[in-house]
Amino acid sequence: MARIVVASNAAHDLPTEYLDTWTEKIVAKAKQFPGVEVFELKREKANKKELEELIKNKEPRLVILHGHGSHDSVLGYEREVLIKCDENAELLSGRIVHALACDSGKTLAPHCLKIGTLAYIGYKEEYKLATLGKTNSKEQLSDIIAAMFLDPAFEIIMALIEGASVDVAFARSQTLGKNNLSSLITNPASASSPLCAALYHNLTHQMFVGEGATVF
Amino acid sequence: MENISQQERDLVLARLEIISPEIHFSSGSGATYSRNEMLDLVRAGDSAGNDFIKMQMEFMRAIKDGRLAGAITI
Repeated sequence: MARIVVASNAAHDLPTEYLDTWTEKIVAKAKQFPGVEVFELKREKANKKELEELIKNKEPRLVILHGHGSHDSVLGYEREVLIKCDENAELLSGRIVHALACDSGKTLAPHCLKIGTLAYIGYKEEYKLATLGKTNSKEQLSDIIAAMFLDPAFEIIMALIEGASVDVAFARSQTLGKNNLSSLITNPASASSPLCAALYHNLTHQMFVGEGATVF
Repeated sequence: MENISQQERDLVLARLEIISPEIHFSSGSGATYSRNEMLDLVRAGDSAGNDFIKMQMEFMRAIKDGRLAGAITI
């Protein structure tokens, strides 16, 4: 049984609520795949203690961390540190990590690689998100602006669950991001939109380290 | 004080003014700003506004020096 642990912290602000809405969508799809078991930590449960116990008990192949971050950590509910260099990053050894969290590709990702993480996919700078500012999940799911930003990031997870290797999953995500950006800049009505700059930022700062041939 | 010229600020304001006021921008801190709030932050030289200007200028430099074309080639 291939196992996934998901920590998604729709804590207290709009961007993490959008992340949580998209995470729910992907988790629902993942649960439909035979042989895939998903364990979730949401809201208050997205804390360090519960994450450590869940990873130790379930030994997931894929760990998904969605929330705020820093160069050396990924944060959970109310900004509690979930994973941090030199604290508990060894929990990610032998696993694939997807962190949709600002900056953690800078220091945490290479640190994890040194201590045995198979692949770490994330962002080496701040993740930019533009939305229509919707506050309930149903409206968020039909937010076409948010989809331009979030769909490429979540494409990686679906690709991995479908059996793609990390490098192929990453390429699928980048292609979707490029297509979204191209569709904006080739449309005279949106070519000068500041959204283009934000999409470009995410596209160029998305990264992975580790063995590209790794599969979930 | 960050090195942002008035010309850069004006350019970013002009780009912001063309988009729908319904669009919101979220930052890594968790703060979310409407289009109009971001216009105010850019005008005021607030750190969130200045970060926004820097992102926009980086994109425009990428157009100019060909990095954008390279980045979106599939």
